[in-house]
Amino acid sequence: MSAEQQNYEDQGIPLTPFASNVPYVKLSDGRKINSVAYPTSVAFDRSGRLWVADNGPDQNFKIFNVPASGAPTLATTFGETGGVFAGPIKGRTGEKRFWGVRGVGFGDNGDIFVGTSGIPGQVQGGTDIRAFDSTGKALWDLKGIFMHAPDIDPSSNGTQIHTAAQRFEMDYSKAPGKSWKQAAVTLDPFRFPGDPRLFHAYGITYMRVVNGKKFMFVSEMNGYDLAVYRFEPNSEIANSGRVFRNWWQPAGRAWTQARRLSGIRG
Amino acid sequence: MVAAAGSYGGDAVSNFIVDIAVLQSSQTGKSEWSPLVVTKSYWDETNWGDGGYAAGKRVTKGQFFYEAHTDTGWPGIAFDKSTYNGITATIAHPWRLP
Repeated sequence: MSAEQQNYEDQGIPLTPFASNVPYVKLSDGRKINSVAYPTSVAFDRSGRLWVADNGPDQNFKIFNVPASGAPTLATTFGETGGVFAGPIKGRTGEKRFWGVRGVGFGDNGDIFVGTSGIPGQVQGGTDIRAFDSTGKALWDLKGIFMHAPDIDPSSNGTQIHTAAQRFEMDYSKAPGKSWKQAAVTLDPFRFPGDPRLFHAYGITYMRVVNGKKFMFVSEMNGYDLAVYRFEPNSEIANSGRVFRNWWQPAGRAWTQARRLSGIRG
Repeated sequence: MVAAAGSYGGDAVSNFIVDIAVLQSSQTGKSEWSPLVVTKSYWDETNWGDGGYAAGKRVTKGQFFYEAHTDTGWPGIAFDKSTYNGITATIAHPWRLP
């Protein structure tokens, strides 16, 4: 596997450029499971069913019966199909609307633990651990995000805060540390695989409202470029209109020409 | 549901996990930490090694990730694979560079 593909898999980015080397599930007796789009983790539960984390468009866990011989068969799934990107409001978070599934494990008491990291994990995502009882009832969760300089949606009276790929809701009546919650993910890597936020460490966000419409501007800490996003109607997802490079960069002339740049990956 | 910021303190979460393992009290020796979720991180913002979480709190960091615990016969955490009834499942690729 190339270093580039390894980086994609570490970040949880869709493996579109590596279609000939998509991972699969391998059993030690030679059997394979090739039906999971983007397997990132495996775990047998207490009854011997094999859970496979699917970081592809389904964003859920596939649960297989593994007989003594013959092909494993899909028994059921865990998590809403499509994860946080599913409808009716794409990007809206929920207890079983996962984002960047990376691991699963089980307690002796039957509890289910899910680990997700967002897409891409390092900057736009973070860590998300969710616990469920054996019936699937949510017990607790923990979240962590990368360092960001977020901005407040100016139309929200300070209650809506955006990082480059997430929206948080504030409830100032609650104690510090308990007053925020992750409300939405604004980056959909499956419908918009060329989104610059997948390949650039945008950690600075500026929210503006122009003629009643919300726009988001994001930049890296070194200010090399500025990407501008608009939001889909009836959705939390933002998509890119333009990426500008600052004038001192090789592609800086585009800054003044308002052109969308090619080759923005990297 | 409990939400917590990824900062220093009892609720801090190691940044950017790539897998988790779940340990039982027979493996940790601490019934109050059972089940214990241990994270494997690609990169950890806090530079304290990977975290261990129980009942919605971080209770340890790095301890079980790095220790093999061969004294008890438990070989330590095996991330990225799982075994049941003698069958081990892993994630594989059609080809790899030599």
